[in-house]
Amino acid sequence: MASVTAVNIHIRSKSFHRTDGGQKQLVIRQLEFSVRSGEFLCLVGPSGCGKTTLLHLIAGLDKQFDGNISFNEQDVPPLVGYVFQEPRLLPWRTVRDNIDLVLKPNRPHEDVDRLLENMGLGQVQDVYPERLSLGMSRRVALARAFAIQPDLLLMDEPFVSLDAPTARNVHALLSRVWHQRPHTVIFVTHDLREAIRLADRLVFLSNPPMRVVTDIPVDIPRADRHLPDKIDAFRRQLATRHPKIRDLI
Amino acid sequence: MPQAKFLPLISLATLIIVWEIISVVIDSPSLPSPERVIQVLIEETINGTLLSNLGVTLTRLAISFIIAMLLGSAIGILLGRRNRLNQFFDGWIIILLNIPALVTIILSYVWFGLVESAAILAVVVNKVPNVVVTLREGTRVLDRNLLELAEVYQLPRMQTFTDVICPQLYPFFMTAARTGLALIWKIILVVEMLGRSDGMGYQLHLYFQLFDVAGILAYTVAFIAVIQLIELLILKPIDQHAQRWRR
Repeated sequence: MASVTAVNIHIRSKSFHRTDGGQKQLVIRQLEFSVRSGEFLCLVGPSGCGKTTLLHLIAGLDKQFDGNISFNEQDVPPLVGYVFQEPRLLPWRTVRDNIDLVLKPNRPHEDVDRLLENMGLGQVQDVYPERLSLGMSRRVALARAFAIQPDLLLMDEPFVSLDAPTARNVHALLSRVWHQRPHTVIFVTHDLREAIRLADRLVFLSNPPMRVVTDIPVDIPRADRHLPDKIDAFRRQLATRHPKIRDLI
Repeated sequence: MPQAKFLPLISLATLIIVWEIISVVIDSPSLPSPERVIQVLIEETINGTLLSNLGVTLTRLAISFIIAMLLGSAIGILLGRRNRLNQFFDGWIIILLNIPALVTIILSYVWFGLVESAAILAVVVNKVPNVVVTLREGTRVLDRNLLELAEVYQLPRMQTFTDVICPQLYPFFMTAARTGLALIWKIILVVEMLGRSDGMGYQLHLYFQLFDVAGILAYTVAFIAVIQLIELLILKPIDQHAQRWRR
């Protein structure tokens, strides 16, 4: 059984050097929050605020920053599943081969046949990605992340441009996968309804230089999350109780 | 208008007819007719000279091609990945690209003697910079998104190379191979002419001294046929297999 990972994030500063040799651009300043093990956390912020940069830092893809990010209960870095904003499938491998590629021989993983079936991808497993619609490609990218049974799942607006019924299906599937096997999820979105529906806790982020504005647990029972009324009520409540985030809502 | 698939055939036939007409009009040993060339081709094939010389040249071609492709690809990928190394060696590459082929061949024979390895070395040195430049370009435009994917999902280095990097470099590799074959073909004849006592280049030189144009053309035809066979039987099938995922 994969261990469940908690994440402590403390970034004093992260900046990018502009390519034209101009001044440094400060993207993140004094950003601090923790994710409990097994928690489903949504990061909500205006687009362009640096959420993708933050996920890259957590995934270890970018090590140029001041601060530290630690994963407890783990000497080694956790196995990360990352659903990027774009599907990032290898075009020269079939759907099935794209998923098989990332499986680790020495670690448990999902039954790929069943996973593909559950995600409505059973028919296309021998198809090359260039022949898939964007919605389908996104589902393959999700399946790939689920397949490795990650300790930590990072998701960067994975449902953008899915049509509403597919998005609902995938939401339900994500909730089911997450329930079946506890793992920590950090989910980036600018869609507050989606965030309320999925998350245990919402972390609101500011415009750059990015920092945490506020941190709010979602107390709607999981069983009621599919009801739009409940979601909207929670959203209205947020707006009245937390004036600081009114422009994000 | 004739069907498109017959156009190459018609085009080739036209070329041969034009050649035939000119040779009849000129009526000179400087331009033998196509039948005469075919006749020499058959004679040389039967007496074994053509095949043995062709075999020798093809062997040299294969050895120097493989060495140049492997060496050039390795260096090209390395330079594409390591900016500092690239900045250092860029000047060397430009110099090597601009040294005339004849100079490398002469120097190679002068320094290492009129031996087989010197001949191979001369061809390799001529070809490597081309492969380096092509593969370096390919490596520079590798998709960073896919490399990040490989890093996040902790793919072993070898697998990242074979499954993520190589397929992206494939078109560059094929370009290097195709231009490489054409280049090596041309250089290898000069190498053989200057310092070997067998092979196509040596034989062509012999015909040149005898002013035997029919012989020269017969060998040229054999040459072109071999190149076409390589393209048709080796490169095309590899291409089709490797590009099967494209829409």
